[in-house]
Amino acid sequence: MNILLLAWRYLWGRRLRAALTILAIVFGVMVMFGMQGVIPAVRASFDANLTVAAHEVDLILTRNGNRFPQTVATKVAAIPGVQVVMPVLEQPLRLPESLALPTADGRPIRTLVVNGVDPTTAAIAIPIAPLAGRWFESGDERVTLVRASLITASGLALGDTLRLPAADGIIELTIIGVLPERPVFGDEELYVPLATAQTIFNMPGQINALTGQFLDGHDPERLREQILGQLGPGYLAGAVEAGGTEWDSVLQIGEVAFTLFGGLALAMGGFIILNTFRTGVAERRRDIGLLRAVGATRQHVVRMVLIESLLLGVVGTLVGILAGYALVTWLLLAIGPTWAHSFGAPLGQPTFGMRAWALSIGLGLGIPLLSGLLPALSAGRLPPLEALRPAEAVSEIHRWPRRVWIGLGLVALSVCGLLSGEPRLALLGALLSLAGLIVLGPALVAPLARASGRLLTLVFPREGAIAQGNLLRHPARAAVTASAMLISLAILVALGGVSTTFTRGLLGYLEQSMRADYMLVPEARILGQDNVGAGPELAERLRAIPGISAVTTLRQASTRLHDVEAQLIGIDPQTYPALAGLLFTAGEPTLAYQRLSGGGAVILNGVLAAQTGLAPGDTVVLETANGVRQYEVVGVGIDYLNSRVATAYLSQTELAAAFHQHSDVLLMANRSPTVAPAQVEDALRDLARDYPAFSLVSFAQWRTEQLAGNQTRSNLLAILMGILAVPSLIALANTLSINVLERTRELGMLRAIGATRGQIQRMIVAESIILALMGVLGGVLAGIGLGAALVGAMQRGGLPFPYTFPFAGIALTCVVGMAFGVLAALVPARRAANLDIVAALRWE
Amino acid sequence: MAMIETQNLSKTYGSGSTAVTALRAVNLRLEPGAFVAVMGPSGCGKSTLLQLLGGLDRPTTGDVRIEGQALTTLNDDDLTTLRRRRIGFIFQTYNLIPVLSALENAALPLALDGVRPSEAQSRAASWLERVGLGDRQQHRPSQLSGGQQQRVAVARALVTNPALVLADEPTGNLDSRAADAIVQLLRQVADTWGRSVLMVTHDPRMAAYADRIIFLKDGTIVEETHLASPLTAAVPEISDLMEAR
Repeated sequence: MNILLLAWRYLWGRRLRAALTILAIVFGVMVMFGMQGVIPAVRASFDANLTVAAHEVDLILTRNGNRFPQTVATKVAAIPGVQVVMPVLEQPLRLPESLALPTADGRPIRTLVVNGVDPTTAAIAIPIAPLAGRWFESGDERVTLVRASLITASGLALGDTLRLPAADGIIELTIIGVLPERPVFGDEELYVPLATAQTIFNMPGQINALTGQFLDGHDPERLREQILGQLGPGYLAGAVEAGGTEWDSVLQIGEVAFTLFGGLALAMGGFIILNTFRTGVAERRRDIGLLRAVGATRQHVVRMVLIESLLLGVVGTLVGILAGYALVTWLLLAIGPTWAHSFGAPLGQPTFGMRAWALSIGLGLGIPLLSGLLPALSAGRLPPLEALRPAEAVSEIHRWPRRVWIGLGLVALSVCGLLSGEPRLALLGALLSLAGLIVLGPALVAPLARASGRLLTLVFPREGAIAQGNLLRHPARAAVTASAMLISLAILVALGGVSTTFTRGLLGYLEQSMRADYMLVPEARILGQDNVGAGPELAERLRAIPGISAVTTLRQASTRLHDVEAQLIGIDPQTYPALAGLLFTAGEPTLAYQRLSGGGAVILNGVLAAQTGLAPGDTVVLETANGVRQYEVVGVGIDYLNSRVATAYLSQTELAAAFHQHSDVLLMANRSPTVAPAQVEDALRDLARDYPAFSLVSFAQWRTEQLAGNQTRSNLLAILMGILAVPSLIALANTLSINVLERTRELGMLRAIGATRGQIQRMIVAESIILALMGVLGGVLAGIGLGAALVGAMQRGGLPFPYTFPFAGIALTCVVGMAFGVLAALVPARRAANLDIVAALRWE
Repeated sequence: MAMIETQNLSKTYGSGSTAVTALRAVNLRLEPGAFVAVMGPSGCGKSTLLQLLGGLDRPTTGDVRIEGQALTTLNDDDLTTLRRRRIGFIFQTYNLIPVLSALENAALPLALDGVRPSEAQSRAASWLERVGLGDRQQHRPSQLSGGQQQRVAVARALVTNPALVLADEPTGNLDSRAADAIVQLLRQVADTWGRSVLMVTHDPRMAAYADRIIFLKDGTIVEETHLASPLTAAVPEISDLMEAR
């Protein structure tokens, strides 16, 4: 009989245990493999479609997402080799509810991509023939070409009028042509003459892209370099990559998140295998001794245990991959219709790249193998005579002096890291605290089990004490199980801490930095590029309303500084501090606003300051629409609206001069204290009706909306965290099941001398609860440390929120932990209670 | 009233062609304070009989009455309570819980019965004294010899004041000196403390301590021998009987 067959026989002999052991591996591989299958499917579809869309374009010129003068087109057109160029102003446009386009499926179209193109060159630069109607002609103004899909979805027809929000109210466009369906994903798009787009977005003379085609015989790469050389710094020339990068980074984040999630599940699986094999080796002491006595070498024994773990890994990985495939197929089917509606194209089949295969197989086999190594080595070390001797009852309550010292050392190091003030050291400290607790685990089992056992005897007076004793019998195994739970729960508490801190901090900013009574907020409710904005007359009309005492507005552009993409917010330094205001963390507020008014000065928010390392007094070079320009940093401050995005604040005068931005994207107004709300609100509502791109909200309404949004995000995070803890449930259930299997004979004896089924059930539940209590206690302690470290890192990343103790997170952790304690025990407890007494007494 | 009485007690394992009959229509009566040994070759049904008498298993046909109570009429919980309060078990492999001390092991049935810990411990301590382990109460099973462990098991079996003690090969794992001591203890259980004892054994020397020996073969009682003077027993005589069967 060879070693492989022997390993297989051992596994097959304990099928139930083997199945329980590989559950976590199956779960981990399923998540890792399955979820990675979704991302390449999405990416492949994007890539395929983008390639189709890009085939006719030799040049796409952009300026870091910034607008630039339309005159650049003339410069580029004059370069030899350029056949035709077309200035473009392409921007998403959010449709207010009143202007949303109804569709047959009941989901109205709320966003359109407006392509403002030069009417004279459009027909040449965009070689797509209209299915109906015509391309633009010289002199066209309030006209548009739409895609056939828009016609199909909305029921509009050639010659109909399309009503869109614009910076000066509403604009009406006549549909003069229908183009074939768009091959790329994304929102419905329409083409309008450039001047019309500039009116909609209040950007006269400005474009944000230039497309072009080159004459045959010219090397496109070289010509693009030549164009960039002539235009100076700040411009980018390519084909279609610019649009893909944002999606790419989202997909990359998703990929990393799923890998981490799967990795964590697999790590839990590793704990379970370690646990099971340690037990298995202890149980098979005599068998191993016999093998050694009849001639098996230490290597044979080590190999046999390793082969068993490898076999578990193989089966777990195989089942995990199949389950992952099923999961992703189901997921794609489930989200397919919504995806097709949102992105205008169906999702593809699941696609599994090399990475998915390599990670799933590598970790799915590697982790079990690694986890089996320690038990295998310990089995190999068993001397044959020792192993063959009748096993003394293993009632060890070990003393663990070396472990205790190592564990205490790790905890001490972790405290140093956490207190160092250095984010990386703090994070290392947090990880060391987890490692320290795991090493200390077995030594902590006895006191913790005794303490929690005492508590339990209040509930289960007869069974609690027996349960406590059972755990004390195998402190190492109890510690490994509790450790698996500890890690999950520590992450739960840490994320809870970060989430609570972040939410509390943001809400603190909300209360402190927003003081306006009324706000005209963009339809999308957030500042972003698809807000249409409004010309200065909206602010003028707002100021003219009797009873309105103060008005301030925000304008928006984007730039690049120190290699960081940043948004620019244009504020009016005179009025802004009264209605909103920044919370300064560096610099003197009054002076900073004064300097901003004078021009040449910029205030950074915490995120941007942290990313660039800039501080008040430093000089920074910004890429403006007119070229690069130097500014002095005069302060670092944060406001609620932009606290999460790298932001620089300029005066609106400066923004208009350097970035040609004149549109207000958000307006705030205060009512005179002597005037009743009803007196101004009618007039405000009338004004808002003329600007459908904006919604009128009172500060109280807006605050409620923000709180509700935060609550939704917190709930989602809580659900995610709950899922993250699933592997620890499997670990707990597995250990208890193995305990029951091992103690079959003892359970039979207990039943024989008069323990009822209920008492046996309660005893197993009590054990599970003690384990869960240990996991919860350690998890909460480690989680608080880990959370504090993460918040410290967040503070250094520009969000100086004070650490908020995550009471809710801890309460949730305790509830989840204890619920898992009871849940995990259900099946093993039932099994133990239903054991056939006679068979159990004969159990070997 | 008999302490224990069986009527046509039968037990068949499996069904159809694989059915194995372990016990066939066994009729048995045990008086209070009697010490009965059950002997027979391997597979004759000794352990099955003991399991049915102790309510650990249910008969295929027939019934067991303990102090007049028919076991087949009892549900699982009532049977468990009966076992806990009226029957004590002693196993060949002692089956002590290794992490509990001798005192805690002996007190286990009382703990399961909800007796206050102080009372349970004092009753267990008193039984440990009686079985000669007064000075070993805080020792764990691993710190006790096989004989001492079996004494703890005897104390555990008696701690609830059961009417009946069932012992399944109680000396099977012990050397002859320890085995003698345990069987003498069981003799004392019957004589001094007035319990009925039914002991399954292979060993004629141990069986010689009983008042009565029942021989089983192929699931039926083939012989019953009353020993006029136990302890002085004619061991060779019992061995001869065993041989003959």
